[in-house]
Parts: sequence; C-alpha cells; structure tokens
Amino acid sequence: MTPPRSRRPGALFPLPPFAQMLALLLFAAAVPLSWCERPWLDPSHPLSFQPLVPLAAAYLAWHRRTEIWAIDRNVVTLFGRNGPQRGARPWLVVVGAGLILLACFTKTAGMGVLGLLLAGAGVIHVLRGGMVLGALASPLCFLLTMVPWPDSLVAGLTFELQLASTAMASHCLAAIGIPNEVLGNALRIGGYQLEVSPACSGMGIVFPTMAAALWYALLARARCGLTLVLLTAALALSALMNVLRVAAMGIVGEQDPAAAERLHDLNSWIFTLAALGAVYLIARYLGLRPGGPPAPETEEEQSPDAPPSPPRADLARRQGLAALLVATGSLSLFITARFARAGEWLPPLPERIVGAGGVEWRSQPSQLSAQSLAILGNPKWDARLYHNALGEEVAVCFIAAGSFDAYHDPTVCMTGNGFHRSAERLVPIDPTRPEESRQFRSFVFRHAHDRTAVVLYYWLQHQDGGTDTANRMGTYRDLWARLKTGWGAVVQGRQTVIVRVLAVVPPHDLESAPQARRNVRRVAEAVQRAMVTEAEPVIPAETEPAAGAEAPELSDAG
Amino acid sequence: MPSSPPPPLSPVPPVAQKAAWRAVGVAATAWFTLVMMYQFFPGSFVPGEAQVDAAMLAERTGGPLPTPAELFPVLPGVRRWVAEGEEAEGEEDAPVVFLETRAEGHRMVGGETGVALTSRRNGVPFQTEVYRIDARGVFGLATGPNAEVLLSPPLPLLLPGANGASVRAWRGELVQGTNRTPARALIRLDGPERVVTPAGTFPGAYRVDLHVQVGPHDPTTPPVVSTLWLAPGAGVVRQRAPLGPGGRPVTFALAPPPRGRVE
Repeated sequence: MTPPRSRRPGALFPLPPFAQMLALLLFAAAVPLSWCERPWLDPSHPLSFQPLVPLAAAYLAWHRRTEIWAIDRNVVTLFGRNGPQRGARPWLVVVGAGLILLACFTKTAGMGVLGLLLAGAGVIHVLRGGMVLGALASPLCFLLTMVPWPDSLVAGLTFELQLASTAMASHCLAAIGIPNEVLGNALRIGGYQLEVSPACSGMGIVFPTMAAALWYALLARARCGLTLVLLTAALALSALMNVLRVAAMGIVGEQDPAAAERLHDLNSWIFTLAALGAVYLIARYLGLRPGGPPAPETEEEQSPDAPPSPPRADLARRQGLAALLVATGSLSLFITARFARAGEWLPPLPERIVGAGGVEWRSQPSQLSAQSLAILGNPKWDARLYHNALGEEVAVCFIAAGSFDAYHDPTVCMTGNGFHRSAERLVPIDPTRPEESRQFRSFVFRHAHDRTAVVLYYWLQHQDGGTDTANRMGTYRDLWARLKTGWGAVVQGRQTVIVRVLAVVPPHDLESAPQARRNVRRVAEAVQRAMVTEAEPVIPAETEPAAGAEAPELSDAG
Repeated sequence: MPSSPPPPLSPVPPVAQKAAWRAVGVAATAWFTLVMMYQFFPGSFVPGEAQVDAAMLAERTGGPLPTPAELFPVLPGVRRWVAEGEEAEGEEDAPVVFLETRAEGHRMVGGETGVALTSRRNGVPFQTEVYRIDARGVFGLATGPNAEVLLSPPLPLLLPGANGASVRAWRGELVQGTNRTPARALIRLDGPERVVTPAGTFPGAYRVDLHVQVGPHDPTTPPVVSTLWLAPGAGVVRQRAPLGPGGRPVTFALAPPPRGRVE
C-alpha cells in the first residue's frame, strides 16, 4: 500500500523534498542574503546581475537533466539506495554552516553566500551522493559568480575603470576630430562637461558580460583554454563598449545636453546588450554550441508516477540536515540581534569645545545624506560642524556600531568618491605616552583630479573607555579585527561608536594641510575626552602664556 | 577498428590558442599585480605627495616653543622671495614675481623704537614695517609705504608662551596724522610643521595667521588674511599675502641668497 504523498515518511513539511531543503538553506543563510539587498537591488551597482545567476545555473542543470537523472538512477541501481555512494557524512554542510556563522560574526556577505553554496553542495552530497554532485559541478561552479565581492575591491576597480574609460573615450573623440579635455574622471567637450560617474565606469557592463561568457562556455562544455579566451574577449569587448558609450554620450551631450541626460540610463542597457551580442558571436566563431555528450544509458527505468518512498535512513539524514540548518539560521538571527543592541549607545556630541588658551570651537548640527545612512545600515548617528574664530572648520561624525555596515572603512568610502589614500598613520591619543595602545588612525586622502586633501582621524570608541583602530569593511585582510568586533558585540555585549573627525583642504590652500591636521587632532582629542568623561571638553594648553607679557587691549577670541 | 579522433571544437589553430593563453596569463598577472600594488601601496603611485603627507601625519602638535626673538630674528642684508605656483605667471595685471626685504636699522615711531623692514615688490619699494622685538614679544608698531601708519596700541605678533591652543585678539586704531581708523585683528601661532622653500627645508617652522579688519566692526566683512611661516633662527621663510591681482593671495617662499647663504 502506498501512503498518501503528503504523509510519506520522508516529508518534514508538506513540501517536495527539494523545496524543503531549499527553504531550509535559505533560512540558514537569510541574514547574509539580506545584506546583498543593496548590490542586488540597485540597478546601477556592478553586482546587480547576481540575482539572475541562480536562474542561469538552474538552466544549466536543467540542460543536463537527462545526464544527471541517469547518473542518479544508475547509482541507485548499482549500489542501492543506501549504498556507499550515498549517505556521506555532512562535513560539507558543516563547513558551509560554519562559514555562514563566521560571516554573521564578521558581516562579510561574500563569505555568507559562499557558505550557502557549500551547504547546498553538501546537502546534494549527503542525499544524492558524490557522483550526482560531480554531475552538477558546472552549475554549482557557475553559482560562485553570485558571491559578492568585497566593497573595497569593487570601489577600487570602479575608480580605475572610471579613469581608464575617460582617457580612452577622450582618445576616441580626438581620433574622429572632436577636441576634448580630460579632467580626472570628466570630459570637457566644448561647453559640455561629461562626468564619468561610478555607474558609468563600465563595471556594470564588464561583470555581467563576463558572467554571461562563463555561462555560455559551461553550457557549451568548452575546454578550459577556450573558456579563458572567451572570458578575455568578454573583458576586452565590454570595456570597449563602455568606452564607446562614454564617447557617444559626449557627442550627444555636446549637441544637446538634455538629450544626453535622457539617454543616460537607456544607453547602459543598449551597450550591455551589444557587448553580450558580440561575445555570443565570438563564441560561435570559436565553435562553441550549446549541447554535450548524450546521457549514459540507465540500467533501469522508473515510472515518474511512482516515486520511490525514502527509507528510514534517508529520513534520518534529512532530519539531521534540517536540524543543522535551522540551528545555523537561528544562531545567525541571534548574532544579528546582539549587533543591534551594540548600536544602542550614542553619546551626544558637545556643542562647543573651549581651549584653555582661548580657542573656542563652536558647532552647528550637520546632516548625513540618506544615501550615506543607507550604506551604513541606517544606524543611530550624530554629526556636527565645528568652526573657530579664524573660520576654520572641522567636521565630526558619530555612528553607533549597530551593524558591520556602520564600520564602512574610510579607505572604502573615500575611494568611492574619487579620493585615494595618500598617507595613513597610527598616532597615540595621548602624545605624552606614545607607548599607550589607545590610538587614532589618521589619514590624508587626495582627490585624483584637483588634489583636494582630506585629513581624517578615525577610531572606534567603546563605552568602557577602550578604543580600536583596526580596519573593518575593507577587504578580507581585516578578518581578525572583524572577529574581535563580533566577539565583543555578540558575546561580551560591548557597545561602540565609530568616530570620524575630518577637515577638507581645498586645492587653492593646500599649504594649510598641516594646520588642518592640527585642528583635526585637537578636536579629536577633545571629543574623545568628552566621550570618556562626559565632561566639558577642554583642550589642554601645551604651554601657558608667560606671566607679565604685555598684551594691550588683548582679549580671548570668542 | 581504431576510432578516429574527434573533430576540433575550434577553428583556431592550437599554436594560436597557446599563444593567446600565454598573452592572457601575462596580461592578467600584470594587471592583478598593479591593482594589488595600488590597493596596498597607493602612495607609491604619487611618491612626492605621499611622502609629504606621511611626514605631516608624523608631526607633533604643540610642545615647547622657541622664543619670539628666535622665531623673528633681525637678519642683516637683503632677503629675496619668489612667488610660488601659477600666480607667478600669465597674469595680466603685472603679477608680483618676487619680493625683497631688508632690515634698515632702528626707527622711532609713536614714542617707541623698533626695527624697520622695507619691502620691494618686483624691484619697486612699496612697504615699510616697524617691529619692536624684545623679551616681551614681537609687536608691530607701524606700517605703510614709509611706515607712516601707526598701530595703536602695538599689535602683538608673537608673545612668549603663546601656542597653538590660543587665538589672540587685538583691537586698536590705525593712526595717520590726525586720522584714526578703528581696526581689529586675530593672531594665531601654531605648529610646528615642515616648510620647503628654494632656500632649504625647515622642519620646525611655525605658522602665524593674521586676520585684520579695518574700519567699523562688521561681522559680514571678510578680513584681510596674511600668513607667515617662521623658522627658528631663520625668521620668515614663507609668507602669503593678498598681493595678487584683485587682492588674490600669493605665496612667496624664501629664495637662496646669491652667494649661497642667507645674507
């Protein structure tokens, strides 16, 4: 007697086994996947093609379905349902789950998605065996293209491509007799100035075109050499298409700037499609056609109307996997909740800072843009602009460290705005005790075009008085620092504020950069002291004025 | 019967494929190396600027100050200054290319004795300033083409012990004959910092900012801003003043003396 389908022994929920495992995997990786919202849902982001990758991978698997099913049936026929080819230990799932948890501790979306893919491969390995996993190698490998890249790497590559596209487009325009001038990442053509923004850098064409080239090569079962040739061609063609796109925008913009603005979004699609079409033609020229070897003959055909009932051992494996994945998902939600608690502390920024020698820094509230706050994970924040009697300004910003997004490293966000890090140094908070571990992380950033300098002091202030300066949200080099932060926030319940103190030195006044650094330093010292003592922030005088000095009509500047 | 080899998938000859492989490998490696170098050592791409910025971050803030007399010594002979940057070239209104200053000895103004410093702009005399320099500080006594405008009371340019945490305010009058014009000034000494000039590098220079407002007090009127960089023992090594066309600030750096030393 065949039991009802919904109550068969292998069912954890009233869902097909495949859907059950998929749902559990998505639950386990729900937190890292939620971090991908920004790159995946922003059409101008270079990684916005990644949500389409699972569909493309599914098509790859479907394209090989006959082969995969045949292997699966042969395994069952030859070795039995509980033979040595099935029921492997779930070490791959454990590694994947571990990566997901590590990703939650360190807020690295790429690691989380990689963990999801490993766990998914592990589930297939446990339930269907190594041979089926091998047959699914191509789609699984292609799924690696949906692993988000580190922000700093994307920002750095985007910046390089911005400059390169601008320079190449300038050459193209000059070659066809249109005089133009390159101003960093902008092109001036007559009275029209075209700024090559990050969205126009070409990354939005390069990434999807290369992913599509890889997908087609896998679909056509191309050899490694041909795949590399196709990928190289895709890289070159997509970069070329972007150069043509910038040049075309320049030509249209010179004639009609309004038309160029209207065409701006449309031409991204046009040139992406053109790049994809060109890659397809090259693939055809290389002899690549979708298809592949015929599926191996099966030893036994089974009727699709009579699916085999999983035995008890299979059910136990499913239950074990389900428990592991549910535990992973629950732990990741717990970690997220602990991080949110860590972002509850936000001391007020002082309205005025008074120096004992007479310097007074008054302040007024300043704003952070909604876009910046979204990038930082919409944390609690406070920002003020301080100015002294000489009209010099220093900006201070507090960000509550409620999530790792808030740790957006200056090297990342400044690079995305056209600056590069010119110098970086750790300096002691108390200069009389240079051996002390409490430090500021000081930077000078320079704009690639006009050399505008930004002097910035950055540190993490813990509520218990401790500080930290290690890089987060940069690259995977910062894993240890991220683990420390995760441990402090999740296990120790540490609450932290990220402090940025900065001054901008315009290009016509670059000789004032040392003065700007001193101003930033003094305001940073006062703000740090205020955060620790919650007292009136007073900058100590390095030396007091000598007694008896003649000071006619002298008064402190107010 | 032996099976025939499968037809090649690609019309590209194997030799060309191999060459393309190698080219791709070399290009990818070079590109990756450059990107990584830029990521890890961005300063190496703009060496001069990066070194200047790195040195700036390493400078101390505050600390013991030299005395006013050390920062503002009266040096004999002519000191020559050259304009920095694009201000020196291409201007239509006869740009100031160089300045010369000379200590002209002591002069009595307003009942006080000070050292007179005369300046020539592009070879033409244009200003004389009189300073009183003693243990109590450096005070400006008079200014003008022939030092005929008295500062009452004297303007305290440098005071002993004044440091980067202080901005001094001066309120007084400019007296010329019977005319008395109210004036205000803010003075700040801060440093040290490294100053590079054609005459040499001065690692421990101090910066003096001088904001002057002449006439009835009006917060909306922007002050006239001058900046001096003073090195102990060498005096003023760089100065910025609104001497360009339309009052645009021009920076002058100390030039080496003709015989290779500061006269």
